[in-house]
Amino acid sequence: MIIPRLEEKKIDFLVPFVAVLTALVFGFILIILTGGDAFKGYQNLFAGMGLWPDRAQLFRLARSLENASVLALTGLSVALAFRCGLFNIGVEGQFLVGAISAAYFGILLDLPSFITIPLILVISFIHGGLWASIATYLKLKRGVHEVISTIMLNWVALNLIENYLVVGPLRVPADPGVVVPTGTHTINATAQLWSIIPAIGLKVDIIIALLATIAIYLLLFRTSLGYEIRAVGYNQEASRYSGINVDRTMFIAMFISGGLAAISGAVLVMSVLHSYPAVFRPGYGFDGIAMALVGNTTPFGVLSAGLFFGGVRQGAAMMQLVGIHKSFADILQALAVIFVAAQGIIRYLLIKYAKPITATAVAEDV
Amino acid sequence: MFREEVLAISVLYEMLPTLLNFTLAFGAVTAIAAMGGVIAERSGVINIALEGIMRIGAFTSVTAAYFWGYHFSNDPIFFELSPWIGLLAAILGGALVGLLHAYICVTWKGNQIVNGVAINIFSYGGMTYLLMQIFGTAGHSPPVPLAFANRPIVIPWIDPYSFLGKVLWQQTVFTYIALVLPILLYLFLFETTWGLRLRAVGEHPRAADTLGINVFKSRYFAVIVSGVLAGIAGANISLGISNLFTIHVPAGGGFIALAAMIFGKWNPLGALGASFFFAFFRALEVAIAVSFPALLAYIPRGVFLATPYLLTILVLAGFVGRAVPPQAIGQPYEKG
Repeated sequence: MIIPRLEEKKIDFLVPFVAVLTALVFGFILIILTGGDAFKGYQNLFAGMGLWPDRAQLFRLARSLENASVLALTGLSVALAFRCGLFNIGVEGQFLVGAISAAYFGILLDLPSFITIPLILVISFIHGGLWASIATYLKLKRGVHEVISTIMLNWVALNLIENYLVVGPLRVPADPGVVVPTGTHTINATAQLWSIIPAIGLKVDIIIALLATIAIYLLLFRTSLGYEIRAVGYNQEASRYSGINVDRTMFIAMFISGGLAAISGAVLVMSVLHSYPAVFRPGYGFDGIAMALVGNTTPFGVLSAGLFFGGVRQGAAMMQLVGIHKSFADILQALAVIFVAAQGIIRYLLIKYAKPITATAVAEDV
Repeated sequence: MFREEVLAISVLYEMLPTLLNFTLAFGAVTAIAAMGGVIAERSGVINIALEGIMRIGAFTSVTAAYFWGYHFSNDPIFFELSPWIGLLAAILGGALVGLLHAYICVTWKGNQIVNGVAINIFSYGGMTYLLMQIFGTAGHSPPVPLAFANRPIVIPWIDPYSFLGKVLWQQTVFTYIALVLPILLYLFLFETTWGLRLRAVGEHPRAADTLGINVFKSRYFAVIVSGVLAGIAGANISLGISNLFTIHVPAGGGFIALAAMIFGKWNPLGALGASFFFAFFRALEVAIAVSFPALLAYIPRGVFLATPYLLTILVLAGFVGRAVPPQAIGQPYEKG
C-alpha cells in the first residue's frame, strides 16, 4: 500500500510530540521508581516553567526564555548543518569559541552599547564560523568525517580556552596564594545585553533567538542558497550533477552553523554570565543536538523545542523543592532524543494504529 | 633561569618510573574503553556513547560495591568480594546500555550518532540524578568501604624498589586487563573465523549476509561487548583509580578513547599504544603541574591537554599516517 505524501508529513510532524510525551511518561515512572512524588514533581515542573499563575510567574518565565534562547541558537546551528547533510557535533567547541570571544571583546571594546553589542555578535559569529571551517576543510580536502573531527576539535577548543586562555593570558589576577581559577574579567556594561523588562530580568536574548530562527527559515526556504543547502543534504550526488557547487554549499552551511553556535555562547556571556567562568557547564553542544532532533530540524520546530526544554530546565530547579534533583531536566531531554532516535518504533506504531482511524475518517468524508 | 630548567629536566628523568606508573594507570582506562570502540566499529556500528556508558559503569560499580561492602562488613570473605561485585554491576550496566544501543541502531535502524548522543546526555543527567536519589549528595558519592585501589596487585618476585617495581607499584587488576585484553581482541579479530566474520560485517554487510553470516547477531554481539568494556573502564575510574564516584566522571575519557581508537587505526594493539601514548602526555602534565609549575609558563597546560586530540586530527587528515574507518560504518543494514 502506498502511503500518501501528506501522511508522511503528518507523521514527521507527530514524531517529536510522541517522543516528548513518551519521555514525560517515562520520566514520571522513573520518579516513582526512585521513590519520589511524581505528581507533586510534575506540578512543580510546570509551575517552575512559569506556566502557573503565581507571584513569581513572570520571573520564572523570563528565566525559561533565557534558557530557551541559548538552546534554540545551538539547536538552529545543529539543524542547519543537518539540512546540508552535515552532523555538527562541534557545536560545543564553537559555542565556547563564541563565549570566549564575547568575553574578550566585551572587555576590550569600550564603545556605545548600540555599536558594541552587534559588533561582538558579528565577531563571535565569524570566530565560530572559522573554527567550524577547520572541520569543513578536513572533510572536503582530506576526507575526514565531520563527526570525528568536530569531536576532537571540541576538546582542543575546551582545553585551549579553559586550561590556557582563561587560566593564563585572560585570567583575573587573583590574590597571591589563591589558586582557585576565577574566570575572566567582567565585561563592560556597554557589552551587556539590553533588558526588555528590567524588573524580571528579561533581556533581548530571546529576540536574538527569534530573529535567528526567522533568518534561518528565510535562508533555508526562501533563497536559492537555502535550496542548494537542502538539495545537498537530500542527495549530494544528484546536487553535484545538477550543477550545484557542493563544496561551497557545505562550507557556507558549516560556517553559518558554527557562527550560530558561537552567537549562542556569546549571548550567554553577554546576558547571564557577564564573563567567561572558570569552568563552563558541559553539554551545550549536545543540548543543541537534542533541540535540532526534537524540533525535526525545522527552524520553528527547533525554537519550540528550545522554549519547551528551556522551561523544563527552569522548572526542574523547582522540582528540587520536592526532593527531585534538577538534573531531571537532562533525563527528560535525553529520553526525548532516544525516542527520536528510535523513531522507527514510533512510526511503526503510528502507521499501525493511527492509520485505520484516518482511513475510516476519509471514507466517511467521501 | 636556565639552571632551573636543567634541574627540572633532570628531576623529571628521576621521575620516569613514577611517570610510567601514572601512564599505566591512566592509560588502562582509555585502553579498555578504546577496545569497546574498536569492536563496535569493526562491526559497523559507531559507539560515541562510550563516554556515557563509562559514566554509567562508574556509578553502578560504586553503588553495588558500596551497599555490598557495608552489608557484609562483618563477613571478611564476602567483604573482600565487594569491588568484584562492583565490577560485575558495571559489566551488567554496560551490557544493558549496549543492548539498548544495538536495539535502537540495529533492529530499528536508528541513527547511531543520535542515539549515542542521547545515551551521553542521559548518563550525564541520569547519574547525577541517581547520585542525589541514592546517596543524597550532589558532588560525589561517599567512598566505598573497599575498592580495587585498596587491593593493588602485588607480584612477589619483583623488587618494589627496582625500576619495574616502581612502575608496577599500586597497579590494580585493571592495568593487567588493559595489557592483556587488546592482545586477545587482536587475536580474535584477525586470527579467528569469528573475528573475520565480524570484520566482514563491518566492511561489507551485504556480502557477509550473502555468505550466511548473521549481520544483526554479529552487530548485537559487538555492541553489547562494547558496552561491557566501556562499563569496565568506568569501574576502573571509580574503583581502580579512586574509591568513589565524582560528578565529573569520566570527564571526556570516552572521547579520548575514541581518539585512541582512531589513532590506533581501529587496530586493538594500535589503540593500546595510542592509549598509553596519550596517558603519558597526561601524566607528564600532572607531574609538571605538581613539581615544576614554573615550566607551565613555557608550555601551557591547555596545550598539553589538547595535544592528543590535535594529533588524532593530524592522523585522520593523513598528515601523520592514514586512518581509514571500516567501510560500512554508521550504516544500518537493511536485509534485502
